[in-house]
Amino acid sequence: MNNILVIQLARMGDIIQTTHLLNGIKASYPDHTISLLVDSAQNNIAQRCFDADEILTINLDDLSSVVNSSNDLNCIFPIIHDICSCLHNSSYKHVVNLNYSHVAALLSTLPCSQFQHGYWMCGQNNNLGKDWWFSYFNAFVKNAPLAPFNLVDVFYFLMCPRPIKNATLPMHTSSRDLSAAHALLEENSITDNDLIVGLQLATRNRQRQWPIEHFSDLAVSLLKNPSFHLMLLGSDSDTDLGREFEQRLLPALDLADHKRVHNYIGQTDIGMLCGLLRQADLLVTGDTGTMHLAASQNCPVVSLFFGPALSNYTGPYGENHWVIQAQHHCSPCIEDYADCNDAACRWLIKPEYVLDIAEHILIDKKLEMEVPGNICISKTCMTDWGVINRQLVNGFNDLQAIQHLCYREMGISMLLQSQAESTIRPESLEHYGLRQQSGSPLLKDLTRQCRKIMHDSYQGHEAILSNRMNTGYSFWHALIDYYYERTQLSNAQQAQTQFAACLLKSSTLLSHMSETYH
Amino acid sequence: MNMSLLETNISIMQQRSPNLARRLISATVPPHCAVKTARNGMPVLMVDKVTFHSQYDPQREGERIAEKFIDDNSDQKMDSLVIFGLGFAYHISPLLNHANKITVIEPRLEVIKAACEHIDLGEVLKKVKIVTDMESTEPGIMQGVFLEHKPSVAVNRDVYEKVVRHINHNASNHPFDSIQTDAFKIMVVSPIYGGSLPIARYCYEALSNLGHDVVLFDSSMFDSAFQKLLQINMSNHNSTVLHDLFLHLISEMIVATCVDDPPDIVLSLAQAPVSAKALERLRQMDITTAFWFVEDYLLMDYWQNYAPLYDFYFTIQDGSFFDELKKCGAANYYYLPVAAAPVIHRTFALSEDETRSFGSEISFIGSGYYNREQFFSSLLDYDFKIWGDNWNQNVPLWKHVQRNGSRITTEESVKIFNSSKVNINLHSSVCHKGINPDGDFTNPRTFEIASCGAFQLVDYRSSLNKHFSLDSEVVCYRDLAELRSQIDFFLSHPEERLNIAQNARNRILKDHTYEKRMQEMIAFIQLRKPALRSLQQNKKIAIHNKNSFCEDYPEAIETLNRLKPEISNPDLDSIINAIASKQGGLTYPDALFCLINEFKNKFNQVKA
Repeated sequence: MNNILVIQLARMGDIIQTTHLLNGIKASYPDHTISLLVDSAQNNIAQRCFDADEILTINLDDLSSVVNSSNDLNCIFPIIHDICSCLHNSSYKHVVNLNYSHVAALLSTLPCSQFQHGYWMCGQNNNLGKDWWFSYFNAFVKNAPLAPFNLVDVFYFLMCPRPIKNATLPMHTSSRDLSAAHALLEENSITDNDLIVGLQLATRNRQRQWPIEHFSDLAVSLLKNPSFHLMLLGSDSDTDLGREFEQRLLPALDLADHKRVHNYIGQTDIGMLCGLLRQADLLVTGDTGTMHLAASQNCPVVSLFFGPALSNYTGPYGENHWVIQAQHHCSPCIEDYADCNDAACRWLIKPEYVLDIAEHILIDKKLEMEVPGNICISKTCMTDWGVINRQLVNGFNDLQAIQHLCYREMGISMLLQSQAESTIRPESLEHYGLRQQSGSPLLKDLTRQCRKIMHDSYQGHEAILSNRMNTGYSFWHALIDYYYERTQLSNAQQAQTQFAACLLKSSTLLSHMSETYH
Repeated sequence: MNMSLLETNISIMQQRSPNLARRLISATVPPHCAVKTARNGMPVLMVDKVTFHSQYDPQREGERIAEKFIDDNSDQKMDSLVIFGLGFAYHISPLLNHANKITVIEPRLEVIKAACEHIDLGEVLKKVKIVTDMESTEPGIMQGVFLEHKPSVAVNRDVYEKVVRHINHNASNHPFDSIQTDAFKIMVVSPIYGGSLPIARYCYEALSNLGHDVVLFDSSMFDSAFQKLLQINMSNHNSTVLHDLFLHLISEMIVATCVDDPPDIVLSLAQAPVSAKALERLRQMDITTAFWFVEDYLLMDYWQNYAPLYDFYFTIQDGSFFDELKKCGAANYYYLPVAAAPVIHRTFALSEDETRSFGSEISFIGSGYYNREQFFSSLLDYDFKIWGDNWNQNVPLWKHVQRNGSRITTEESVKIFNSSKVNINLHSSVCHKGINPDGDFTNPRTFEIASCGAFQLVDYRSSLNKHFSLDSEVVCYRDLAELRSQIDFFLSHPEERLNIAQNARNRILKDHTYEKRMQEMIAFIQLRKPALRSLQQNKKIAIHNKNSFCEDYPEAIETLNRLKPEISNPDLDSIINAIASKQGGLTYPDALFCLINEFKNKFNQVKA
């Protein structure tokens, strides 16, 4: 039974974000076959996952319509049984479920398996169980802007808790896809000397969508450079948006420049999209599946994050992508729910900031922009422990930087199961720009808090949890949340040991920083 | 295709319906009529992707439909049956011995042909008269206890509506008020204040009386806070933002209440604080939304933005308003005039003190609209009491306004109606000097005065003769001179007054109660949205044949044994509770039950 089932029932972007994990599993379990279970609607993208040996699909829409077609379980049950029997009749050594949903967790229980990872059903009371690593990841739901790991790495470390050797999102792009894309560009008189900028106008909901007016202003500015061509990307459902964009843009251009705007919205399948992104010199996009696809095709990305989108969580994966994150008083908002009348955060990222970065990437123009304090600009860089956004303009403040670093180091130390890990990698401080600031009163205070909580941990659960109510101890709240959930879901003693190790790690790190600055 | 079966069926049909048999021979079964095989091997018809029978055991399902129908109509004489929808007749065969005469209405020839090709209809055709076209049927054939085959209704909704109108021919203005409806869980949402607030309460009472499970979301509980908000002196912008936020909060409370305990239908009355966003959320939860716009569409124009967002839009005006509703994208609109609540709007014996206080020769209750002020200035020579707010204090009329123009409660208005010899009713207008000559809808006051058994003189409205017999039930005036002469006549003819008032009350009790209106509303909703019934039934999703289920899935017995043995049809909620209380992991059937539960509940999840 040398086989592994990975369940990823979410959208295109999530499947691409899973490819690094598939790659890691392939390397760790070379003699195992990997099956990837996806929603039928995502079959096309899943077929391109390089390291999946087999794609299984389940039609969630079908399941839903069968269940809602009758009130008679004698009728429904056999049909659901038929749909699920294939999964039920299979056996896997490992089942890895990446979706925080009851449906996915239930499907993960159907095959016979030796080991379950990720999220699963707990049995009694139908609760979801989860790996400690996912508990740690979930502890940042309330502190999302400080999430210490990108989702791609979170998935990866679930099964491969060690430094990353090969940071990629391996997606299959055939020579046929590349030729077709090349032919399309040639047909549109785009030569190898031209610079192609892809614009992904649409996102999954309006809260994440950069205004079409801004896209249009950016396009007008970009097209002032005669070697730039723009290609509009998107699916069938984005056609109206593309039309709106053209209606706004084209009257502002000279007629001769119209031919440098190429609208491919609704005209590309996944293969063609991969091919075009491979040819593109840059993609400007919100937090979208196309962004992840571009990253997988080594196409540089300028990604625009606001509303519920957080670049620390779901930013582009890989080296040297640019991320602009807009902060508003209400950021981050809740997906699909915020009833935002003005959606002011959508307008905060001005076209000129994006233009400046785009020209810097494309023609090596010096960055000159001045941005207000609520716009954070960063650039991705790879470390042994995955991608981080190196903050270039308006990054974390001291406390946030230390917190992000601490939580990242605690996570790494838990992954390594090295409770007394004291080595501080040089990357750690440098990436956060911490060398520039003195910070000692802050460090002193945090060290005091850390010692206090360590002391409390000898007193028992109640003493630890009481610190959760103390707003002055907000630095530690995510850790306490994690500890609390572990005590609920697993062995309390084990949770306490891990908690103490984390505090020890933090203490070491804080001392190290203090010494550095003193 | 089984030709011998088709030939046999058609030869039997030729004896009873030779014309139909002839048409069937040349009919073809098009591709949108597919025949599938159920798990028990029986053929099942599917038309336009609607499955006509159970894909598991259509015969058992047919028996259950018949059993329920007989049970539901146990108090009726089952002499004649009218069944809408032939399908593959699984629901008809078990009824053959329960009635002397059975008529089946099946509008689709292809369905009859497919049934003849796949089912032995011998016994059915001997006993049943199949008709495809109502127009050509002989008199009396549509009389009998009515059974509808729901999938047939779903694919023939227009014909079904015609059949229902035909069957209820006598109730020409209100074709749906006598249709049997299911019991639904309904939330009635009232406005914060205003004229439709009491109507929301009457709707709530009426729906409860009809046996529905009703909750009232009484937005008037926010009235004082809202009034306070309006009093704060602030810029227009801030005022608008705060106003919107306040209404948004109430709207979200309505949604949250629905999430916790989802109703089948949310009925909002005019001015109810339900936002577009909330309507979208309710739609996502598969909750049917209805709005009763008890206002003048020419005066209040917010309907343009909201009518398309509701599943059902009920109005007190038709004609050109329906054209406008169609233009703005409203899907299901229906004319539903207001009514009275006879328990509240009742005849009332007043004490002497009360008669002195509330009584007068002529009276009027209502707000001081422009047209009323102009018109009533010419009636000041009578013993005339005016009740209500917003009257101009600087005109001679003011001395007739009672209690300094304070608001009148419903209870007080009933006393006033009962103690006035002549109640004047003048529909409001902001632009006419007296009567609006083009006025169409009839206001609540007309029905309420009538329900009190009180006498009224009402300005002429084009809809009035739909609801009352003019002169014998209500008396209309078209101008001031006519009104004055009618006042004079009826003040001196008390017996005529009493007769007309009594006739009006009888008419209200017969035709114009809120129970009647709500019955009509729900029947229309149910007719236009048959899936609503499934929704309600879905909530009771259950194993209908426990023995056969346990035979097929012995692994499930352990879980089902945790339920009380006397439960013969265990429902999904009980099964899920039994699974939740188990120790250890999930069995395969457990996991499938839980999956089914997840998909059932997906519309009810809170998004947060």
